[in-house]
Amino acid sequence: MKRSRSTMLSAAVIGTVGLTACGGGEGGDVDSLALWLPPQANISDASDWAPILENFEDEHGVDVNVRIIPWENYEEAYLTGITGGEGPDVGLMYAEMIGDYHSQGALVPFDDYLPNSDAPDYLYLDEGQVGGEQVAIPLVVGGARVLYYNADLLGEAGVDEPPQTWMEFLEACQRLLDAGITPVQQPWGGHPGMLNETFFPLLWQAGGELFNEEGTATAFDSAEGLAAAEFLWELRESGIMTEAVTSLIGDDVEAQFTQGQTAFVFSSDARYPNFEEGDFELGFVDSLEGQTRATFVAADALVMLDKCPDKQLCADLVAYITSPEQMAQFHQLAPYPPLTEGAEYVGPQVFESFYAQPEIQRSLPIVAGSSSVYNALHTNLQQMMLGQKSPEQALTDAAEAGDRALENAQN
Amino acid sequence: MTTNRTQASAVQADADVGTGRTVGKPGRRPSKLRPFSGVWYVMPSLVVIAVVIVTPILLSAYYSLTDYSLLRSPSWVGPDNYRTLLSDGAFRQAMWQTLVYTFISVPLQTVLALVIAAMVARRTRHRFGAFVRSALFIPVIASMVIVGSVWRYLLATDHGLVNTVLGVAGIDNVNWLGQPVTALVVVSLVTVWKNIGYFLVIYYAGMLAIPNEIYEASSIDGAGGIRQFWSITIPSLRPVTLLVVILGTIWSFQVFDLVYTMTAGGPGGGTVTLVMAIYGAAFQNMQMGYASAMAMVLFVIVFLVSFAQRVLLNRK
Repeated sequence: MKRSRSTMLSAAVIGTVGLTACGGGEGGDVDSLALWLPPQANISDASDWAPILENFEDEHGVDVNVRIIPWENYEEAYLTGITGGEGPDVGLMYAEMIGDYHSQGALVPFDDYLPNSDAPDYLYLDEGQVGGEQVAIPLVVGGARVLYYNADLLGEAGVDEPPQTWMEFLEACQRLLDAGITPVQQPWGGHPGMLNETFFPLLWQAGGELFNEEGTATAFDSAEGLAAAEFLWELRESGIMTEAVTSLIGDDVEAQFTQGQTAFVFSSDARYPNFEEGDFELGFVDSLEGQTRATFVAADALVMLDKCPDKQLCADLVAYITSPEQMAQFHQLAPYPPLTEGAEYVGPQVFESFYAQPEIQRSLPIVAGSSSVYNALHTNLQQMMLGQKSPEQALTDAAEAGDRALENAQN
Repeated sequence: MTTNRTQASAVQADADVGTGRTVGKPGRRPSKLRPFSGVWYVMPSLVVIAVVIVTPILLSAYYSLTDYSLLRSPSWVGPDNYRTLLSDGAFRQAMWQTLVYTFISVPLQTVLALVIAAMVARRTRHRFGAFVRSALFIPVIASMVIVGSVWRYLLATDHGLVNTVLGVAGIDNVNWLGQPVTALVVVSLVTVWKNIGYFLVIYYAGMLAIPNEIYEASSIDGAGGIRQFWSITIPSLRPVTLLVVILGTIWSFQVFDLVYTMTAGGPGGGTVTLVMAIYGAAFQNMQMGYASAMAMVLFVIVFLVSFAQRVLLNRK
């Protein structure tokens, strides 16, 4: 994940040219804005946002109506809300959503508006760019997928140091297996989102990519992708992961680890407090090393919908929310890493060093049709884990279905 | 002439008694029947049906002939979506799996509901009769999501209750939800468990409507319980059985929540049903036109099943 200020500078140049045209916004007397957000950490109610937003409301004389959308029906709520004309003016989306909404003209890029706002010095602007346009401004960067380990179980199996590379991981797992300990389980019975901790990090660690640079075709059916898929298959075939993995969901896998039944689990930094409750010594490895080190970090971002009656006001709202002062309040309730240069890190101290290594943090690219691609990849890799397809066949079939989906979504 | 007309109207009014047509009050001049006056009485219902049922069906039929993502205006593509359906392996797989699910769940839940209802009906005064009926109805009112989650835990491969019990009998752990075939069978069986209470109540009500004299007469003729069940209960409940089968079939074709909670369509797409495929196309792939084409296929199936029910029920 690259930290970039260059985008802001170029956007500022473009914005300065168009400054007079943007002026006070085309909406005139806007008295309210709709802001849709998901629940985050300790934020579960719209009223939790009231103290964060009250200064903006007073300053601009508008009501910001926050609606908390449950994760379970997040995409449906947006799709039906926007179609029915009742959607948000500003909302939080994840990469899979942003690509589709952007390609269909439902989002307004910030390039013409943000330079006129009191925008802070962002760290992760690259994560919200599509084709050179600033389509989204990251609000929540976090949820890093790391490799947790139970040091007590590793000790029982004679593994003195936690593994750092793919080979070391396989060796440690084999020792655990020989000692009668289940080395690791993964949630292959779950939803496609589980690829964030199972396949995507391995693909990046092998040096592979999900899509080509233009986002017009899949790129995982490659030697690097095959190395990642074969690594997974080896874990399954050798018994390091049991056959039960095809029925497990995230909660099952995490429960097994917390109860000391497995030695490793690939999971989010948000689960650290749960794992800490386990009766064992807990540790984690930032990222295993294949050809390189890399792992998944979510970058959910604020977008401006075409429905917004005053685009400048909406951009101002986004700049306000993401400013260091408001983020400091936000992070008290939802302790994620800072979004802006110089802001204090308030997340769990054990992850501070991880978030100081942007070079190993990777987010999903914003590509129209990517949801369908991930669904196809998930189904085919599940079939591989069932032994129905070889790693090659699984990747080839997934790429074929994925490319078809990309063509449908982008034409 | 006037007298004759009044007499004629009175005669007509008498004739209309019991037919549901408007009649005048005795001793008053009968009100004049207006053509289509009944339409106004049913108008509220017609409006609701038109808005809530007919319009969405017509719109869905239209969208099925378009390329539509919800975020953009639909563009006409004619029957292209239906042509794509014919060659879509994932759709065929979802259709096949829905049929398998239906063929497992409908006969099982029908037969079990009938048998249990017969057992309960014969013990109406037994102190446990009401308890059994209530207990079997609890799964019906339970949330699909909760049912799915609870059964997920019961069927867990490593520490689930089902495998633990089987282990006592010396049977190795079964990966119930981790293999496509067992997952589909298990989901169908959980559906049976969930629905059986509902159909039991329908059967139970039907059984109470069978005159007791028939059973008494057959007893005098020497018929035993099983003979009575085959020769009296089952034939008398034919319309109820048809209703149960048709309702069960329609519900099976519309299954979503339970499968989504238990397997999310996996593993390897082995439990994706028709409605899950429609959901995926509409809300994950944003292909509302294509999803509408699938929905129209589902509509035709459900319509044909309902039509068959009507024909069969009207047959003497």
